[in-house]
Amino acid sequence: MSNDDREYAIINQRLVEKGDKERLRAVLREQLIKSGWRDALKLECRKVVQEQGLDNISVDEIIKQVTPHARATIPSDVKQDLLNRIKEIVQNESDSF
Amino acid sequence: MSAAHGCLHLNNFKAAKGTRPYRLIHSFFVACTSSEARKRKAKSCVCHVCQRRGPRLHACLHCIFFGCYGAGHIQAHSQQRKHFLAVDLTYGVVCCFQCGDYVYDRELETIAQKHQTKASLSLGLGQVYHSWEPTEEEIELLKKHTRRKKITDSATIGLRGLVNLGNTCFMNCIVQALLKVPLLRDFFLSDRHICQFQDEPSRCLVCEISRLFQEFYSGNKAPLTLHRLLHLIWTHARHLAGYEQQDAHEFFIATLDVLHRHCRGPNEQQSTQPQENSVNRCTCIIDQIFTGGLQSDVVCQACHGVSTTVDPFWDISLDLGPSPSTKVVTTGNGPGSIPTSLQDCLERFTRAEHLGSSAKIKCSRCLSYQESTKQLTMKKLPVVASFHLKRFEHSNRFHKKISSFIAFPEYLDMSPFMSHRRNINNNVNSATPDRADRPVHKPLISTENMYSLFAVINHVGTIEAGHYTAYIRQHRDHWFKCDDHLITKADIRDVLQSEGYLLFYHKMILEYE
Repeated sequence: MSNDDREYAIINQRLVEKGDKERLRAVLREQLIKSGWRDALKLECRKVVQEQGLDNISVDEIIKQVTPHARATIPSDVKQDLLNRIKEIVQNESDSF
Repeated sequence: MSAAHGCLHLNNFKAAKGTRPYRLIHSFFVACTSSEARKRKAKSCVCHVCQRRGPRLHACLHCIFFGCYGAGHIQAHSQQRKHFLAVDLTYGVVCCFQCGDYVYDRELETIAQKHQTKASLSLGLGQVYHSWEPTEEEIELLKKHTRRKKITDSATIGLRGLVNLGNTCFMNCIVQALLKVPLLRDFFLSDRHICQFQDEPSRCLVCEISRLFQEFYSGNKAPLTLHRLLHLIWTHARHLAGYEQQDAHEFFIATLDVLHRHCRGPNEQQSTQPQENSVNRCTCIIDQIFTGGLQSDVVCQACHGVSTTVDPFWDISLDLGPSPSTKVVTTGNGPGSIPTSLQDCLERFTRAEHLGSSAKIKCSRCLSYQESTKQLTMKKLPVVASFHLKRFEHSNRFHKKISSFIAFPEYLDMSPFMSHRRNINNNVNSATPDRADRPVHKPLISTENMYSLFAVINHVGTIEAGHYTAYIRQHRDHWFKCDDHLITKADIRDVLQSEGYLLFYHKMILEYE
């Protein structure tokens, strides 16, 4: 594992342990719903299912087809906000050492 | 994709081993229901092959094995050991490698939902929202009634003119506004009212409103006659009986009061223990929607002792005339200035006020009669905020109508008027609510106290003879003018330019309780 990986692992472990990850997920979920991202993605998924037919579709296939677009359309202020929140948590965490 | 009852392989697995394996994995590694579980999850949720945390980490349902899906490690494990079922550790769904896809399973979903609620509560996140799923009974009902109403953006369903029964426009406009409260609509259209008048439901005002919602959403476009409602109001609020013109505001408050009395809260007997400083709340739908908490702080000018009380309110009446010169704070809109906007009025409403030497109050701290200041602030915001602009001035010498223009916004932020922001005891400069006390970091959700306008009631004419009309919002941003039986399309600009007598705002973000 590289240094980055190790650091990521430590931060992730902390976030999970204290429940911060779940809290962040809740905030993120809400922001994505509010921005309309989730509704748009739902429509996109429905389109994929309709195109392929219900019998020839798998979750993997839907993921493959919608992921690029889904990632690209996440509002940048939502991303920035999440990043700020993580930074703040990590900062507070390292201050308490 | 499989049907709602899972796949053959999962069913066989459940028959052999039950739901315990899933239950354990889910409560420890998907939705942690305890801090012990969180620690375990943090430590052990890594792919046993590549030591990474994903992408898409899965746990084998048959043995203790974690593998990521992204790099194919869980798939490899499944092939090698013939363990064909795995749980996705992010979402808790089960993947069957024999079917080659994720499978739905009612039983497991119910377990997952229970864990998620528990996990969320243990983190102080409040109730998780689950979208509506029809029960068996509801599916049967839906099958029997195949006609569906599709509501498009331009649909006019939910709009109905109301016949004027002779000076009853004050009632018509209030009904138009009440029927546009989304939470009330959902409450009544989902048939949640339990009538208290078992033997004579015709006496129940709530039943009548329930019937009106059915009428409004029936698709019928003919104007309605509200004679039953009028009669019920006459019997239950006797001061409004008779054929004279009435004040729409008075009618609104009387209606809420009667509705509140006729409502049975969903869990009145097991109401939660009153928390300190919180408004003692009834749980009926009217109080859930319209009740807010108003904090009053009386500060003794001698010892600076504060006595705080919180009282429930249904609406806020705002003065429009020049403010009396007894106000203590003189910056900003000084004494004597006339408010020109809703925000001005609210600013004035929540300003600390000097009670004067003629109104000395016994201070509970220094136990002497002293001059004091009084300040009102918003402790708890209601879902629907109703503002009453006091356009009718009654004094013993004259009655007159104040027709000055008061600007009101389409979107209103109530944050500046909240107790914790505005209160003089928090050492906040109460004259500058907009800038004072803004936290360095933006709050989690900055739109927390945002409201949007959904109904405006206007009075045209003089204090002796006049007419009420209402602007109401339909769908997200279509506006209509309701003038008794006539409903015409309107523009938001018309609405914002109108005089405004009663203003109804709806909270934009609702918390789950």
